Amino acid sequence: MNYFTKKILLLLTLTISININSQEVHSKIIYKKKINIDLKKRKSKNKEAIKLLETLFDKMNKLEYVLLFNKKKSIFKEISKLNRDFEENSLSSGLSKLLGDSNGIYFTDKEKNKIYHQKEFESEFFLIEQDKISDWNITHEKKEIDNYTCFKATKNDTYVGSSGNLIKKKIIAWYTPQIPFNYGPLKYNGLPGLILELQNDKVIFYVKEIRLNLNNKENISKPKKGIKITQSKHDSIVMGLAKSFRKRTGN
Amino acid sequence: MKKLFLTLTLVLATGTLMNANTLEVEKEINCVEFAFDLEQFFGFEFNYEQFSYVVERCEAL
Repeated sequence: MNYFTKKILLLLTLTISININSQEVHSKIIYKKKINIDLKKRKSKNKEAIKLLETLFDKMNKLEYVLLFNKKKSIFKEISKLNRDFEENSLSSGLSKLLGDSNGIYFTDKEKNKIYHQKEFESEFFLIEQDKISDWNITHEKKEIDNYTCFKATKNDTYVGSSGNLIKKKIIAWYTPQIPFNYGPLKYNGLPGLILELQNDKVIFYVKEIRLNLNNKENISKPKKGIKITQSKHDSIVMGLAKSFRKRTGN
Repeated sequence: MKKLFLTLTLVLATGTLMNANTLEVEKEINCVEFAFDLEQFFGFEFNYEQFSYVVERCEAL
């Protein structure tokens, strides 16, 4: 074996070992979502609105989201399970995706203590660095979800409403210390256990499937595409857009 | 005679353009009202993205 062959063999061995090490053990949680609205209590003279809500419930039921995570990072996104009967461009389909702020990809990097949200908005891709999630109010209230004991935690959050004002919303999370990873749906994390149910205002994300410690290769990497922007900068742009929209339409 | 035709054509064209513009504005306002109706029906204020999506899709119908 000559010098070069030895070198190539050494390089190959190194590459293989790096590859094996990078295939970290990860876990996968599948969530579904539903609207927390009692339809019987809601009244509208607008027949189109009633019809839309009925189809929207059906479309929302077909949506699934995945949370992939390991010790260092997590990614939360919609699983593209769209089939022919899911009219991608219909109002009910689009709105069913947008409700609950679940459009795009959320990425959490625990080592760098950063959360990013990649989404398409006004025909542009944005990579929004989210504000840190803190101020959880942890309670002793508990319930069982999929044989896991979950505890209730709440926090207040805001969003830019259609009026262009910051609207308060309440977040309710049910986390389990039995799965000691502090991730959850969307950008919400930082609790002493995995969030199995999350109520984001009127939309509830609930767990459908839990698969822990998997060995197959899954890509948990930061999305790259999009204009880099902070949450507060993004909010101020949206506020401006909303206010000028209201002004234009006279509302 | 030519001048009369030209004037008439211009008047008609302007009228058609104005009508089309009025219709577009009316459609936008109707769609905004529809979005408001939806918000009321759902019982919460949409975020701007959801609201503008409803208006946009409604206008495309």
